[in-house]
Amino acid sequence: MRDEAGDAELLQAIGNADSAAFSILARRYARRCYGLAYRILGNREMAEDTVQEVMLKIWTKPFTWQPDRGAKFSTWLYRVVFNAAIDTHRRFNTAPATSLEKMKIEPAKHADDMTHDLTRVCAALNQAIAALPTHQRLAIILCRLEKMSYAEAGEILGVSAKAVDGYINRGVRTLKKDLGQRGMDVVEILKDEQ
Amino acid sequence: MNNNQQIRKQLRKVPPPFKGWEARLIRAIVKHPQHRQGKIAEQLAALVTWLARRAVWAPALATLCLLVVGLWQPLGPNGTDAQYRAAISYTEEISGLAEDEEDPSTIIETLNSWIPRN
Repeated sequence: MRDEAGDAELLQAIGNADSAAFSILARRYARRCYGLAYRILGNREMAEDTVQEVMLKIWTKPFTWQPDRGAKFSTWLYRVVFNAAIDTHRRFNTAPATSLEKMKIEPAKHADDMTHDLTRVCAALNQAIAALPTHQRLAIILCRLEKMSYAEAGEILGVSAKAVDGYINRGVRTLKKDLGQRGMDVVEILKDEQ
Repeated sequence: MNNNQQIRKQLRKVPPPFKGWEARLIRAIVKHPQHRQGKIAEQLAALVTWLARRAVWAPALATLCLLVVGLWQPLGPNGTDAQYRAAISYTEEISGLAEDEEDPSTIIETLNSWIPRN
């Protein structure tokens, strides 16, 4: 089995218990699935376990994804990871967010100070994004950071593209309110580049 | 790359998984057919629950017996040493304890105490 084989071809091979095909598929997607699970759970071990659970489903039931339904395999897979991570989040009540009140970030004296201190800006923004409700957080991450389309993010989150737009607007408004006073132009940083 | 692009690049990053995680994950899943047995057991357990909820006791009990016998075969006293070692090795790998914990023998001792051997 070649590394560049298509997802459908790999899944066919996995159906015949081809471990090499599974290995290629897992190496292709496991990291990104882990990233998504981590964004929801905020915990490495739980994110790893969630991806393991999903990968095991692919190994045991490789034909669950139906290409004729229109979704790409990657989108379907992220949707499965999203659901599994949300289940884990509910079961263990994990808290990925760090409350904004707990952030100890001094306000910048001038906007220029802030732009030169990227690490500090990233830390503050990361914490503020982590404190958003799950759907707002993921809508911003998927569309504004990972550059997915609204439709694709909607499929993963199980909502319409219009709802994704709403989540992003609400999330950015909250971030602007919380971080604008510290001299950060959140709207500019997270602007839609598509 | 301007500042905003650099910030977005930084924001995309998450702490990496533990070293060797992907390889361990793949190994743990593909090398152990017990996963498939586990799935069958899961489905049989669901069937027992479904039948019991509908008060269909005879088939529920029959399925339960099948489940118990099926699970006892590889792990019970009549399981072969190879099956036993595979189960232990599987548990170590799937939990990651063998590589991540300081003393993996603890979990093996615990498992030894759970599973009776002749």
